[in-house]
Amino acid sequence: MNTKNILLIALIALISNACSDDDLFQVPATSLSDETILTSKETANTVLMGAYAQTGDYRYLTIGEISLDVMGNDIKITDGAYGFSTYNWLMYAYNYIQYPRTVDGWWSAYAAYLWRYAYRAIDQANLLINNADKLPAGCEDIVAQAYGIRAYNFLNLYHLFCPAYTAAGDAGQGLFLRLTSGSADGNNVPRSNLRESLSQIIADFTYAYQNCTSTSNYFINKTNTALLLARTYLDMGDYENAQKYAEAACANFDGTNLMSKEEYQSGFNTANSEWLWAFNFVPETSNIYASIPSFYHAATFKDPASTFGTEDYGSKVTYDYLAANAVDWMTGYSTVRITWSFAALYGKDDCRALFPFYIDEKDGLFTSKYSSKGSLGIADYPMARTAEAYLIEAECLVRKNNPKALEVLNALQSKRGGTLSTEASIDEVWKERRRELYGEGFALPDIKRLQKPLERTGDEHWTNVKNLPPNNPRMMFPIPLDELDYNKNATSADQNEYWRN
Amino acid sequence: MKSMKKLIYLFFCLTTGIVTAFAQTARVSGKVLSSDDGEPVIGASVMVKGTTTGAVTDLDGKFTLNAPTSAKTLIVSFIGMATKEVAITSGVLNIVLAPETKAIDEVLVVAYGTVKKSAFTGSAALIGEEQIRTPAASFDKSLAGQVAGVQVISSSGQPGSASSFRIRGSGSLSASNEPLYVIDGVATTSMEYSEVAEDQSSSSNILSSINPSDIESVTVLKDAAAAALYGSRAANGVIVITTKSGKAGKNEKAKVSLSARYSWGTLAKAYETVNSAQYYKHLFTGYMNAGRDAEEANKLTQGAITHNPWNVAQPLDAQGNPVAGASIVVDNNWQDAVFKTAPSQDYNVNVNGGSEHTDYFFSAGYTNQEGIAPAGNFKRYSGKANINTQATPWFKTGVNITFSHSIQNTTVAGSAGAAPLNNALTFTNAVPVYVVDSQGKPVLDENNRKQFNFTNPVNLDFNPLAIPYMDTHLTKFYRVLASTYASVSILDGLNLKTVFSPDYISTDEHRYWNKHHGNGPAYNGRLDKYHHTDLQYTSTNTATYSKTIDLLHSINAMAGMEYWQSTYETLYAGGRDLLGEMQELAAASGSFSPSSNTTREVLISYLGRLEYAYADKYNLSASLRSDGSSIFGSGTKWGTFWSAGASWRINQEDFLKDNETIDNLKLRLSYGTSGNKSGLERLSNDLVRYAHLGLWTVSSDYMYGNNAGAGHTQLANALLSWEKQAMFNVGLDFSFFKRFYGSLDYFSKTSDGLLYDYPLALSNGFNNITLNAAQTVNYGVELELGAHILASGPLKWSANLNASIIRDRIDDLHGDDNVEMTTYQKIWCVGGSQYEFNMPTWAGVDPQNGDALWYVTDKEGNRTTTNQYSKATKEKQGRSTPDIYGGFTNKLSYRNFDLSLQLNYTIGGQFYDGLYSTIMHDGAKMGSNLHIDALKAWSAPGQSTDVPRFVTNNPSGANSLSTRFLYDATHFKVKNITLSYTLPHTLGVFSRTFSNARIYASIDNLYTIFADDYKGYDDIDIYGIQGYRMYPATPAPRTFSLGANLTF
Repeated sequence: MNTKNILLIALIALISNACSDDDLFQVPATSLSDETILTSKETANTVLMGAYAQTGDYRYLTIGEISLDVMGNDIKITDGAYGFSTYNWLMYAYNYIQYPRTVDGWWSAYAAYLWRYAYRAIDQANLLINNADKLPAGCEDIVAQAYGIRAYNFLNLYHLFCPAYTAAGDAGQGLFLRLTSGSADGNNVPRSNLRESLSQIIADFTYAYQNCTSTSNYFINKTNTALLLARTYLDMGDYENAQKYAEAACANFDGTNLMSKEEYQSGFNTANSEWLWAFNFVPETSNIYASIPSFYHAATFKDPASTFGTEDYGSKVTYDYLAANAVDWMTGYSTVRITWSFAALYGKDDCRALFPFYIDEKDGLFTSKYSSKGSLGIADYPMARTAEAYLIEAECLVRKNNPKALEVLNALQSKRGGTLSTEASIDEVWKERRRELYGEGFALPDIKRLQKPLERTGDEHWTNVKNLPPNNPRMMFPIPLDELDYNKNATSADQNEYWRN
Repeated sequence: MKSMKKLIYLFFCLTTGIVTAFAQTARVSGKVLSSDDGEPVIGASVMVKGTTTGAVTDLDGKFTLNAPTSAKTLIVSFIGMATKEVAITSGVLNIVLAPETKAIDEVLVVAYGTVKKSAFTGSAALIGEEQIRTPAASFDKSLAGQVAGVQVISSSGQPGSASSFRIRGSGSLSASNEPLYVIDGVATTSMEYSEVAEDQSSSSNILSSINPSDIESVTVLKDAAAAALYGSRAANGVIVITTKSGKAGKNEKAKVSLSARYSWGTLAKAYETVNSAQYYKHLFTGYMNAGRDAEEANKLTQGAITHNPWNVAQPLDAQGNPVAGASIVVDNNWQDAVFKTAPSQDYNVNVNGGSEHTDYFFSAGYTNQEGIAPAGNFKRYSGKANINTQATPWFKTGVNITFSHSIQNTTVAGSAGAAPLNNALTFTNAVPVYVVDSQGKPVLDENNRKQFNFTNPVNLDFNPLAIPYMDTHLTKFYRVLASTYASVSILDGLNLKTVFSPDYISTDEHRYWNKHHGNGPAYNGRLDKYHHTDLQYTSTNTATYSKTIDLLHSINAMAGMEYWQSTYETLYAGGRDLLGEMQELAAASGSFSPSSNTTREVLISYLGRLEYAYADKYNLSASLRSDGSSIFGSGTKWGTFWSAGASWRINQEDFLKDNETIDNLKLRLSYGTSGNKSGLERLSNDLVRYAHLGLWTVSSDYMYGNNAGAGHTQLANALLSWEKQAMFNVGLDFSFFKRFYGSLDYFSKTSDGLLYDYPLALSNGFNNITLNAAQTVNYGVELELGAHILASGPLKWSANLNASIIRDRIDDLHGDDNVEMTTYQKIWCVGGSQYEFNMPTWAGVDPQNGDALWYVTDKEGNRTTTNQYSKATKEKQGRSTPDIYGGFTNKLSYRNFDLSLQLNYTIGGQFYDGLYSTIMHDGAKMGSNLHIDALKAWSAPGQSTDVPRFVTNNPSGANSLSTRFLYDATHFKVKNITLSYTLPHTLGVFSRTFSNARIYASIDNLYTIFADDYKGYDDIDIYGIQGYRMYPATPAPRTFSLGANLTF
């Protein structure tokens, strides 16, 4: 039985030392923990980059920016009957149909997505801000940018979900000011009022403005935060400060610091010196079909002979002709259309009137303001441009009855080849804002801020929602029910008025 | 063969000690035949009742003996056959023995060993080889309707795809409700391994790496007494798979079995959609009603379709009638075009046999299964070797190795543009397959070939007949599942066993998007390569001791420990800007960030079991297991699980022992606990193996520009631990008149500390956090009834019916209530089911204006209707799970013919036909296809119809989620009919060569009868356990098979 004994001993040995409890402690290979992520500048920076990435998510940036334009007067989504199907993208936003919770398709309930990615970005910024004093040396700019990212997202949420401060005042329904990093304890913040909300945005941007050291226009920096501060102050009706920071963002208003006509017409896809903040999409991070150029661009010209300024520019064309002859033919969804009434706001030589063709009168014009760098969706997106500083400056001067307003306005108009205004007024500046900034997310916020009605004129508007009176409660998205239901400090009264039961 | 029979004969002669020769005897002679095949029974014992006189039948089944003249009865017996008493009459007796009813004294394979069914205290079901014959690639799909308490939902007919099992309902909310699979004693995985299939909203199934032909039996362990020894992995029940092995015996001759099957799968039923003319007119009328003139309406209709199916530009006049000379030139039913007849083949060969101390089994199999949807198919090459040897009287060892290589091409499912089934449903007949001219004639390319048309209003640049063949979604699986053991008997009854079982699963995946059309042009061609490996190994060491004292007390004890580890490694590389049609990364001039990752999980367990039986009447069992898992934090790593069970064989009591009516009556009682964490094992989520940590994941998803980024992906949760479940079971097994048998079980399981995705306010940056926070109860009754309705005579008929009534209830949601689960449109309420549908109630169509109406309840509780969808009140609409489900099996045989018929039924439950809602869009999705029911749309005041007014770009939400598309799931399905013919043993040379030969024909999924007016595919499994689906999956095909089995 010798063999038997050997086997037996071997068996017992196997049983007794087969394992150790140490094996029960495993650590992930590609994740960092809450503790380790902030231990070096390199890893802390990944938190910031992640916050940018969430800010650029197509379910937030693309949907949010285009919604803010197609919920205005000037830009629409095709109805799908002219060769370009909408695939339901954005037509519900254009149509003012939005629910506070997904019903079947997500297209009718963008609110939850916009909200989620904004707060993910804010959550990541909060981690850096909350732990600023524990970060290793050299992270000061990272923290300053985190303030800027947080403020940008709060400001965007304000534009998407809140009434205008100029109309609703201090007590208007504001933001859920989440200022600490995510935790499981249900440490939820209540919905604050507009005074607190905008003060927070101002405070954050101010911190960024005072502490940012980077100069790259792909990131939050001192100059672009100045413009974002000006934007926020304008929203608040604080024209004194709006002007101050517009001037901080833009050293002079003589037109020399604006891009050339050629640059403007080259199709917005690459940051230039006028872009104070450009969101950077590379092949790896491009949203392709869900990118902003995908919805805007179909082609630059209908054929090589119909370039800007020619007789045929802006003329009628068929889908098949485009497919065969168009210049830079790169179709994503290509569903954004310019209304005729908006196109009529431009003078003949205005370089911004990038409306190369149309398929049907009742569809509206295509625009080539946005395009991609070679491959669909690879394109920088303008988050803040110097031109906006001109417009803020002009508006602030108008409000002070300062005659320099016309000068500033004319400087921009002349650089663009547009018709020069003969007098400056708030409406004249607004008209210029529309001409200059269409497709950059200002249409609806301006209507709200200036307390204008929604007035969609013309046959090409296929929606039932053609007119809304000023300060209409529909001019915002519903607060997602996944916030109101699970936020211990929220009640159904925190829902925006139109969606309240 | 003859020589073997002779040996058996000799053996019986030697062992049965035959005593002959008496005075006053009479000669009795006869022949013993088997009722099975009418063949002689060789070596049957024939005894004169009350004496020791007897004989053994010879090679022809004949016997002769001298019985006392007083004798009246013979007792005829043979192993495996029911013993029979026969009156002695004059002349040659013809005695027919029937096979013993197998319900009694089967051996069940259970956790860490086997148990005699009669002594078993738990609740388990045994499914034999016969019942797992399936044309599907994996055995699991065949189990639907076969076992009480087990619900099997195959949510896709994609060859090789996965199915969902529910054993006794669903205890878990967020964690998986799938059972643990144990193959030949080794707990194994049923995780999704294919990234490509999962990305395409389809699935793969690692169980399909096991050749169903290699499976001998499947045991479903349902209650705690049966399953609790698997501890933390047992809460959802356990499926124990036993593969085939050889039979040891002196000079057991090698047996070779061959089988072949050829099948054809087809789609049983499609949605009935409108034709080109109907579709065109419907849109045209819509535009006319919107105030357009006929010319505009024609143009807009053609614009919406992106094509003019008529031969003239202005085909309809202002009245909507075709103008003179107008005719339809494009009318192509995409569903007909996309679904195809799918051939499949399956071939197997195995050799098994043994000698006195060694047995062996070798097999090889090949299966090639085509899908009925484009480009979907599954191929498997498998091999198996199982060798066991009793090396010395005290030492036994063996090895069992399965190798398989399978190849799955996945049909893109879901809502993707590349999903052919969604395209087939939503492309209208007016969209041509090929580029055509205005007369509908194909426009040929320079090589005189037809060109596919990629213009349509549903999915830009896709064509479901072209893209699936231009792109590739390929997964190759490699699996080696091995198990070796050594077993030593030390003392009488004490045995030590060590088992080492590596399981290596590797996938190579390839996803290719061509540069010309579909997804690929945006990248100028894209190729993604994934390589994943999972090396799992289990080391189990057990000691067992069994002892019988005084023939009355029988003790069986087992103790052991087990170590399990899984190391999962992933590797990804992808490229763009591909050169030509090359499908290798070397051809890519641009690339995506490559990535790799490694995750590891460890489970350490200590386990023990004690069984005690008294006089074959009373059985007690108890088990205990302690598991430590690497998933949880230091304070919560360990969990202890136990069970206790008892059974009482009432028929063995003196007062019933001689009762002729009752063959078996057994009462079973058990209680025990088990755990679950299986939602935390999803490999597609890198984080779940570190579920307690707060994590920031570095990946390309969080890059900004070219800068590395991290995303906050998991909130820290140090208290996270197992789900704990406690189950009570009481059961009764019965059998009487040797003809009727069955069992009845009641169970109740409480699942506590459930992993619950506690919803967080979105402003946290997270949708939810997983907590051990909820409690549910599942309870139910399982009934199994069987009868040998016709047992004697040439025509035999047996039937088996099973029924399950299972309910689930949520008892706690961490203080929450009425949580809306929008993914499947459910509402979770304390006291309600987790499968409760929640949606507005459809109130029909307003006859005055054709508006869609829903019910709305105001604050005072008044219920009225509204035509504004956003104002409609969501109401509870019933569960997606059935009230009663089960199967009804019939087996008929007549001489050499066998017929089996399996019917599955489901009573109650709801499902939401999101596919139908898509093609009943009332104008909300211009250009998208319509069901013929859309033609019933309201058109004039006073009209009573259930289809609202068709409005172009309809904003009313008329086809949004509501009970308009909710159906009663009650249905009866003719699951399988098989007719087989066993060749007689009198075919000369053929019979001498082949000991058994059988041919058969079968039909699977022949027909389904629905109680409700359901319009869709014949397979509502595609709606899943949640009964909710918005986009099509491949329905299980109706499959016709021909096959043959040969043994020599």
